[in-house]
Amino acid sequence: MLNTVSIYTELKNTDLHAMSAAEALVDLMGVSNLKRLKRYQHWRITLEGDIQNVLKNSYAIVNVNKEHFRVGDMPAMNVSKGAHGFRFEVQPVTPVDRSGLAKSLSQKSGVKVHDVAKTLVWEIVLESAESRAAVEQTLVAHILNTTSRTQGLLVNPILETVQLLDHI
Amino acid sequence: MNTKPRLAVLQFPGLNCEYETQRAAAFYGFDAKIFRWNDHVDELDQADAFIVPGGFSFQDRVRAGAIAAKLPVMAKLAKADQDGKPILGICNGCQILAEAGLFPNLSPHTTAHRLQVALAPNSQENRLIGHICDWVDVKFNNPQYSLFAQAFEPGEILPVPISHSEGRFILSPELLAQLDQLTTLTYTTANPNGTTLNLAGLGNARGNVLGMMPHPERAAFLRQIPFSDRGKWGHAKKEGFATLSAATQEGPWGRLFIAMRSAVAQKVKTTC
Repeated sequence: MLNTVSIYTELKNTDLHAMSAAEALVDLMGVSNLKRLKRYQHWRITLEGDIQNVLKNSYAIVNVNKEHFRVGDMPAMNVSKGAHGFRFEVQPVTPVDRSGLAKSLSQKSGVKVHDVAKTLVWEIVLESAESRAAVEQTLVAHILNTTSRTQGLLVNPILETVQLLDHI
Repeated sequence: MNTKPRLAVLQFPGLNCEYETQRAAAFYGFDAKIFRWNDHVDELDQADAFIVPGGFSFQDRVRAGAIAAKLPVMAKLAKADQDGKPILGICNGCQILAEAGLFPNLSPHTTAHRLQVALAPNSQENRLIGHICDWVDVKFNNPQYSLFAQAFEPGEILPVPISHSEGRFILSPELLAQLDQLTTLTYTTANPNGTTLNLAGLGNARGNVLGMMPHPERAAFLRQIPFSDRGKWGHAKKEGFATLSAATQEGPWGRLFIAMRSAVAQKVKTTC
């Protein structure tokens, strides 16, 4: 039976990409209320069979020496009082063809893999007394969508789209 | 007294082409100095021209050029753009200038440098193809709109190396509609990275900024041209080696630096 499985991975060691992004936001762009910035890779794999076989035998999706991973849902987000937490999924405007990877996964695992998609999820926690909607608006305009040297960082709207994950 | 025009080669953490860029600029008549990203930015006021060289600033974290574009030194570069000073971005420098909105900057009379172009990962038919390192041929189009194209023959084919992972130009709809009003650099050999309209480089509306993915500093001297080049430059190299003169002869891209120098001299003359 054909099913689509989500796998979320995060680095065990310090994520230098997220660290640099956080430093740029706080030190260079004045986002002083940034409390946490975290990054997950989100794999969506459409397959006929057991995803564990793919993960164990392919060595292409998860490197367990370097990454934690979860199959299904993302881990719960801890947000302290007086802060708002958001997760945004970023993907290229033009979808990437990963049919070669799907074929390779099938060959290595013996499980028929039909499709593989990979996106990036940013987890952002901002301290603010404002409403969640107001903080989200600021976040989208000033932190996510890059429109100039001073506005936005995490998403380049010319080549990427961003979507709020509202299931958290 | 030093009368050479002063050129600042900006150095960000992770760049790796600053010394060869400085060497090429110095050979073609600039008083070229490397300026570290965390030096006192006011020192940049003394520079007449700027180059942001290639490499991997901040390890290409987030996106190539995204973090470097936010540094305070880039505000100085934006000011230099307003003053009409020549600014060249090479490879990662091109990505940084694009992220900072310094080109194409279709509204040059406003201080807003809006993002209008992006450099995406190399791909062919939507398949990522990773890093490319190769010699290609390029040519300038609409050369009248950029100071950087002034020293080249119209339609001249120029060999140059490329070495990048994120060199695929993607343009905003607004930019696509106005592309014929800008100087562009296009690949004349096969499109190596899926870039829009074969673009390898793009100027700004004012004509004083050029972002280009190929490396002109690696083709500034004849000795750098590969023997495999079948055009006039490869031929010249073979002849030059026969007479041992290739080591000091100018390469195809020396004229880019000469054009920058001429533009500075012209600006000084106009100001005086």
